[in-house]
Amino acid sequence: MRTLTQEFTKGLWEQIPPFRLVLGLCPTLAVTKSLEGGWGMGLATTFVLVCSNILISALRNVIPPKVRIATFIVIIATFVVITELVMKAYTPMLSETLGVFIPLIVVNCIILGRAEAFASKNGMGRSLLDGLGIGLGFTLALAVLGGLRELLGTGKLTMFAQANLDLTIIPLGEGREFLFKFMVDPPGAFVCLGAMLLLMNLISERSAKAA
Amino acid sequence: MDISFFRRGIKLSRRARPGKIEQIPPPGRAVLSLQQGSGPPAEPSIEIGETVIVGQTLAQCASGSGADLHASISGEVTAFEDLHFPNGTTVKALVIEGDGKDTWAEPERDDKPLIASPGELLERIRRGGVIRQGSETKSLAEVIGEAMSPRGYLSSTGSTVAKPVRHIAVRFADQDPHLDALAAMTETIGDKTADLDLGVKVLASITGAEQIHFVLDNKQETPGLDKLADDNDYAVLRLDATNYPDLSSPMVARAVSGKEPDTAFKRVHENGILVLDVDTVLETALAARDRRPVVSKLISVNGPEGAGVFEARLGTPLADIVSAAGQKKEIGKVVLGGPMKGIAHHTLEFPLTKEISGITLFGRDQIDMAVNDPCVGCGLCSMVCPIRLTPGMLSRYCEFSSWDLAQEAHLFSCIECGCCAYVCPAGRSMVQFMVQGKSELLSTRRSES
Amino acid sequence: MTNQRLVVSISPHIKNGRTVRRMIVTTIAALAPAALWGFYQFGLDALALVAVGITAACATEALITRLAKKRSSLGDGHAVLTGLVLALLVPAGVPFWLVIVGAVMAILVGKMPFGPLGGAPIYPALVGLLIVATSWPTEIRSYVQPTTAPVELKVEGAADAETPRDAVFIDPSDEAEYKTADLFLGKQVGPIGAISPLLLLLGGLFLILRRVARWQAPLGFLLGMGLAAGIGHALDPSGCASASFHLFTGSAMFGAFFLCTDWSSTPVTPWGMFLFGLIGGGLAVLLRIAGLPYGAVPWAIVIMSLATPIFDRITPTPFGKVASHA
Ligand code: SF4
Ligand code: SF4
Repeated sequence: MRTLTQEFTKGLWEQIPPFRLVLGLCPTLAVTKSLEGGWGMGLATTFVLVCSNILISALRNVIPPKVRIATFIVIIATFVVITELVMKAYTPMLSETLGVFIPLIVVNCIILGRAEAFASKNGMGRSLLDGLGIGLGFTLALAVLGGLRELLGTGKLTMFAQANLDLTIIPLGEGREFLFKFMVDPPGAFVCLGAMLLLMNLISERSAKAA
Repeated sequence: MDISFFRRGIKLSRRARPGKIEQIPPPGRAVLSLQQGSGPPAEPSIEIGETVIVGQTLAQCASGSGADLHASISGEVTAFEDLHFPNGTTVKALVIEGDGKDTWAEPERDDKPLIASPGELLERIRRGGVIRQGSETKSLAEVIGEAMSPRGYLSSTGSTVAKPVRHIAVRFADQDPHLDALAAMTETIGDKTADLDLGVKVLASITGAEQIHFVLDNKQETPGLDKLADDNDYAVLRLDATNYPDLSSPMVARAVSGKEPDTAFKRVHENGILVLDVDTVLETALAARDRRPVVSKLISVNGPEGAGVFEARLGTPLADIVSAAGQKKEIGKVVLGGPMKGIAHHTLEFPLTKEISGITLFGRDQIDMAVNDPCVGCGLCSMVCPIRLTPGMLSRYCEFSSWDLAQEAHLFSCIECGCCAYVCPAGRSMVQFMVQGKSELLSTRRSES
Repeated sequence: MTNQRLVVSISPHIKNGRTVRRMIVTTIAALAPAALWGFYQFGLDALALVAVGITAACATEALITRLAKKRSSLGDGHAVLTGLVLALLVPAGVPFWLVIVGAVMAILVGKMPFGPLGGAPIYPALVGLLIVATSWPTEIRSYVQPTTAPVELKVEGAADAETPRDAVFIDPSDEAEYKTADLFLGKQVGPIGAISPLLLLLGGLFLILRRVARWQAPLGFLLGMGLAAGIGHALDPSGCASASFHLFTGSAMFGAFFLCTDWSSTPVTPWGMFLFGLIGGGLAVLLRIAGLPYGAVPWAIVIMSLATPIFDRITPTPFGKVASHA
């Protein structure tokens, strides 16, 4: 049994979703064109994950096992709708960037996976920490991926477009939009993801050897 | 260029004219393996300590399989010995210490063998110890038996039910262009046309074959052969033997019949075509008429320092033959057979057996080690494969143990000719993969049934 | 002669001496005349670009094998070939960094992740080329006026991203201005190594005669391009240039003989190769007509490469088997 702290931190490295669980790959590849898209998607997912984890954990003894998946989906969908509407209202630009991928959180396998594998078997406190850890891990991964791709692709980092918090790291010439356009193209997402996986595996191999 | 655009297979060099056949004197000590060719070993019919003369039966086969074994020198049977074959099996062998007299047995001669019944003739072939040479070394009687009745052996009366053998093709050159034994024999075939004629007639009478084909290299000069063929309506077919493997059984079968035999599982003779080497035919004639068993063998030696064709008694140590060929310096590799299909052996301390048609020697610096890099997909192998397979793919399937995929890609049709490995730039040991795949598949099939 | 150690191995015991390295060296030699012609036409810049491309490719490969602690694979020359092909497929006016990025990407993304030589599903040089071509669509079209051009070519059009067609000046209505013979002899604008159909043809035939490349794919490719362009031209002469024009411009010849004949990214069965080329050639012409600004031939071949496993299923009927039409 993990301690509560471990329950939280496991999502940040040991089980960090896109790299270790290799779950939730479509948003990972689709929305990480920019740093903003990365963290925005990550936080939205985290919110849904935490809420659904808590609710499912609370109801875990009430839900009949035979219809549990349907029930999970209903719960998750509820939170997704809340997220979508809130984002449309308060962060319209971000919502525009993420587009259809916000409603698609419903079918994100990370959320259903945590509900099935964790929340339906553990108490509320643990479920909360689990959801928070995994969600933040996801956010971290997406933000790093998005930041990397954006930096290489356009030389900029969009922190939060709505508040004009963009950083130009590498200034481009007049009239140029892209630094290395391939990186923000879909194939670039695969290459970046592969490179990050490689890096993570290398690091854990090293640390395993050191230990 | 060794790869042609127009035909499959590869081009190998061939000596224009083989040398004269040299005789190697009977050895002082002969080691005779009880197993000659594939099939079960023969049962010894003499005791240790007995004195034997040349041609005397030493071991007999069970009827229907194998061939008898005869003394190749006269002397005393002194021991049983273990022989390690290159394929990893160990077989018992008889040792004869020679008395130096070389006394021959004198069996009763039958001047009109063609009147005898086919069953009787078949029995003489079996008792004469004739082995079919070439791609598959096996007792000739057994081969014929199988060919005539795929599901069983020849019925005891000798009358056959069906006569599936329609063609007999006689090869006058080795399929591996580096071997010359058959070509050397063909040089002097003029003196032996009567034997040759008798041999094919005996075989035709047993099998009921309708057409005899002589398959020659197009450079061979054949005194007497054309006349013999003309007189008897035998077809003469000239092929370019430098195209390897055009002289292998399936290719010859295609050349004579115009139809391609299926090479998977089936032997070529089951397609109604029996492909034999000329020495087998001559041995058949001797066994049927003179009742003279096989005690010696033509063998072609190819080495960095010496080459030639020799006639030696069975059981002669290979080292003797090799030194007779003039090979003195150290060698790195010994191959029993030709370089394309021969099998490497770890020692020269091995006696001549009926299945060895040649010895190929390599100096230490001539050895081509397989590097077995991954397939680069160059497709050269698909260009040369005479069976029109995709060897590169097959080798990958076998490399990664996808046996079922290999089978689907017709792995069993592969005749292990080695053309693919010959051209592969990645140095892959293709034949190894093919053989391994086949044996894996066969063993799973066996364990399933 | 007793007690010596003898080598035991499976048959065959002789080889014809072909090695991967030798075959790659032959390919490079076959490319040499076209490359030299490019240097002559475009001057030292072109030579420098090629040198940079080769160096970058080799350095990347050396670095990666080093980091991954693998046996160095530089010896087989494939990195050199990759860098060379990449540099020959870009116009002489491109900036150096573009070729460097292309070469690094070719090795890093196109070759090394797929393991040793023979694993790459797409020709690595094309991966690098198309990555830079999509990233910098304007720079990649920095065409340069060749030394011996019969007429002043519309090179300025190069920087104009609107100009559709593989080679800059291809405007079907202009076709009459250029003699087919000039195009064939290499007096035209285009990528460094691809402007001389004649020399590429000779190099390709040399490769085929040396049995390094097989003839089916190039034949299919040229036929496919010729047919597609011929039909297109017959239907709409103003929208599609004639067959000879398509065949002799851009990287058509280069693609046919040096890209369609790659090992791992193209089929190995006879009909598979032919169809691969035929469809690829047709696709290239379609892409050109559709107005792909750069690299119709490379794109067509990359797309076909992805379908290679399908073409590889078109195997000949093995010896003695009855053809099945399943
Ligand atoms: S696959 Fe078999 S039949 Fe084909 S070339 Fe190779 S060894 Fe010969
Ligand atoms: S010849 Fe060798 S490298 Fe070429 S395709 Fe065949 S197995 Fe692969």
